Amino acid sequence: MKLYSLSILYKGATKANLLKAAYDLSSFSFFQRSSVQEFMTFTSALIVERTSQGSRASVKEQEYLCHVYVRNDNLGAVVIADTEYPQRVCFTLLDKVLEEFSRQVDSIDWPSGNPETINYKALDIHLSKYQNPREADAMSKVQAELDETKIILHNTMESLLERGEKLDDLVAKSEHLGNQSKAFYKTARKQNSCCEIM
Amino acid sequence: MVKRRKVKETFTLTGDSYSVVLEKLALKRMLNFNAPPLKNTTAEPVWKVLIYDRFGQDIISPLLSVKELRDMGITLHLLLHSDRDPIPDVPAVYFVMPTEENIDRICQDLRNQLYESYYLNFISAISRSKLEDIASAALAANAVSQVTKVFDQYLNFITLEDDMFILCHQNKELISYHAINRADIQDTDMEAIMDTIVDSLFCFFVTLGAVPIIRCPRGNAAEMVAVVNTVELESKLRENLRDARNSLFTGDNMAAGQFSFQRPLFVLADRNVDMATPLHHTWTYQALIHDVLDFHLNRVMMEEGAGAEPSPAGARPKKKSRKSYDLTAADKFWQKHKGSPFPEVAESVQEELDTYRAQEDEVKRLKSIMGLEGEDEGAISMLSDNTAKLTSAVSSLPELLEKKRLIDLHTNVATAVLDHIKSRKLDVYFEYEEKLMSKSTLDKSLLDIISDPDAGTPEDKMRLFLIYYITAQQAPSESDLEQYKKALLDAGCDLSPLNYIKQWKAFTKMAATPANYGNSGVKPMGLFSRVMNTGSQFVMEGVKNLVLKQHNLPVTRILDNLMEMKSHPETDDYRYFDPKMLRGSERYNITPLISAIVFVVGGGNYIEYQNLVDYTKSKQGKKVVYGCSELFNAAQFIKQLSQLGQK
Repeated sequence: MKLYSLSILYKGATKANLLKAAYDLSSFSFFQRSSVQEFMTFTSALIVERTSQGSRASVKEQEYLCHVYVRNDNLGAVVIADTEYPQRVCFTLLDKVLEEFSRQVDSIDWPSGNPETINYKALDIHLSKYQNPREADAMSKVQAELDETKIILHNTMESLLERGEKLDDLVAKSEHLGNQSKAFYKTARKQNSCCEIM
Repeated sequence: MVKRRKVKETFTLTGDSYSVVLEKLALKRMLNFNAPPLKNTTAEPVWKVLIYDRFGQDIISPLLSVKELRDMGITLHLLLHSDRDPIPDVPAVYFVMPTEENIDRICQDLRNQLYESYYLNFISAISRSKLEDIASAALAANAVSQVTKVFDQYLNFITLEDDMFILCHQNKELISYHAINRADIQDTDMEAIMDTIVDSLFCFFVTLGAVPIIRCPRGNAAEMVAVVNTVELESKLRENLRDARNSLFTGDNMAAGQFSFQRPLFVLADRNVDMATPLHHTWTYQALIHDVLDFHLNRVMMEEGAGAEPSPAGARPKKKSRKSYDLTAADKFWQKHKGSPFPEVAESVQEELDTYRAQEDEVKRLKSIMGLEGEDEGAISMLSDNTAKLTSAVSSLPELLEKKRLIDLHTNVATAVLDHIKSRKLDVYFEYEEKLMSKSTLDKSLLDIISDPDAGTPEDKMRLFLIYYITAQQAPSESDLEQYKKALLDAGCDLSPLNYIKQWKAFTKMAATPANYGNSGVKPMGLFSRVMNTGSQFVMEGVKNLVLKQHNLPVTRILDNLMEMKSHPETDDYRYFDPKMLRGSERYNITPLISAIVFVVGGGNYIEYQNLVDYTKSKQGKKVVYGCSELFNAAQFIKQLSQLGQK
């Protein structure tokens, strides 16, 4: 079981703003890493944009599960994991990280911040520690608070989109994706398969 | 004074010598003390000793036979790191990599005064500091005058065919598909791999005497190789401009002159663009030999004497002997049939055997006639006629003997291949995979083949399944996948390659879909008829006589697009590098290109090579050379995939 990325974003009025992110790309080969990272950022941002305030969701895409929690103050976090990793532990992690972040980083910086300007260093450590889910010592605490029926489950990325909206367009417009990643996606799309890079 | 000279190529090109026989010429010149070979010389070659390391051995052995070495005066050839006695009156030609170990040993040889004179040839360029080490050792041993020449040969690649080369055989795991694609690789590892690959490619272009136009895809190892290679070529060209004496790509080089109008196209492809072909069961002779027998550096190793002969009670069982056969350029049958479909090969060996027997009978007949004492009037008058015939028969005996040797060779090899085909039902695999790769309708279920205990080894089944998975438009459903996995496990397969292929498929460009394997179509022509007669060496009963329609595999298709300047989404985005343009690259190539080198980073195989050869044959006047970072057969490739799939 594995965690691939952990990101903190601010849910703005029209788009999500990436504040900080940590990645574990060690299971991807050398030339895949930069594209994979870009797509994880893109996906995390899209998910936060399409998740309402005060809700939690899990989005399944191919071999990956993206878990998101957007708080009522519009601070959100996304963790991308494999399908084996226990869902409950992911939400524990998201809660914990958001709590810590909001204590260390002033809310005035959230709408306009970016990974370079935001001063929060613990994300990499959390990601690495939680690679082993038994680290989630506060599991029992979360069990009490978390009502699983309230976690929305999406079976694909596409179910996040609005009617008439196309993933292709979003990819093309995204500022998180470099030209190469966009090119990858374009070719993958042509062959009738979903964006399988994630 | 130790002189360091860089090699200048001054060979003449014959009509079809856009080929990697250039390496052979370079080697021959080196063995002639780096003087151009004198034509039509009746003088005896100077006797000399050849000292090589394993790299040098791998380069020389596919190109020069022991006989050819002897013709050039090599009386003795020895490994560098072996115990060697002094031979004080004989010159020694060294052909080794400039590694620290090798340099130390050379210095030791100098100190021990082993030979009369030393011609030091380094496979790739030696560094200045190592050169100084040799100079000091020579000085200390008072042997300076004996170090006659030191050369950078720029021959760090292995030529297997006129139109095929690989980078190395020793230590190939350092630049293998696994090494390049493994997840835990560090930046420094990748740098080292790139340096190794580019060093060899650079040697290749120096030997060829041409600066290519480079095309590569984006975002993978092939691109990285292209970039590093361009930088290397660019910087060496700039050096050349500054120091014309030491230039590697001089203008007076006839080869360079030839290529100034039509520079070769150098296409870099990444193994990941086509993962099905290296797993494919094949049907052509050379590729089959590489797949099912122990074949490398043009040598087949086989076990013989494994017949089911009953041994008398108490007698020791007949020991299996290992035989090795060299498949060379001089073997006409091999040159003609190495790319032929196997049934054709079997038929042709049979034909050769029949022809040989007829010739042998003719000789026997003439010999028996000559045995007559002359009582017969008719016999005497026939005599003079038959003397002529016998003379010609006798003089053709060496030819006949050689022919017999080759027929035996190919009979043995083809029989061994046929045994594999029959016991594993390789024709079934071949046909099914062709259908998968060309998206034709399938007449059997995949599950049936996997579950059939008589068809193929577990590895064969895994290969088939991986090809199915790779070429499938839609990934199989969870339940289907579970069914397949169970069947594969029951058949004894190792599923770890699948883990890697799943990840590969999820990431990679889906451009290499089944449609792009071309419309191959395999036409079965019914079961064998002719070769099924009792006199045949090859009982092809039950083996389908499949004929292949020409189709382009992905790498061939990429080359075709680029060489013919066709627009295609797969190659439109390819990068363009011209090392001669020192500032930026503008394209000015409007004419279609006539020569190309296709190099697959991450490994290649004979199926891909054969496909390119067939393609080139269909294009008048075009020359294509195939190269790859390593050569593997399906078994070796699957092993690497398995390593990559271990979690």
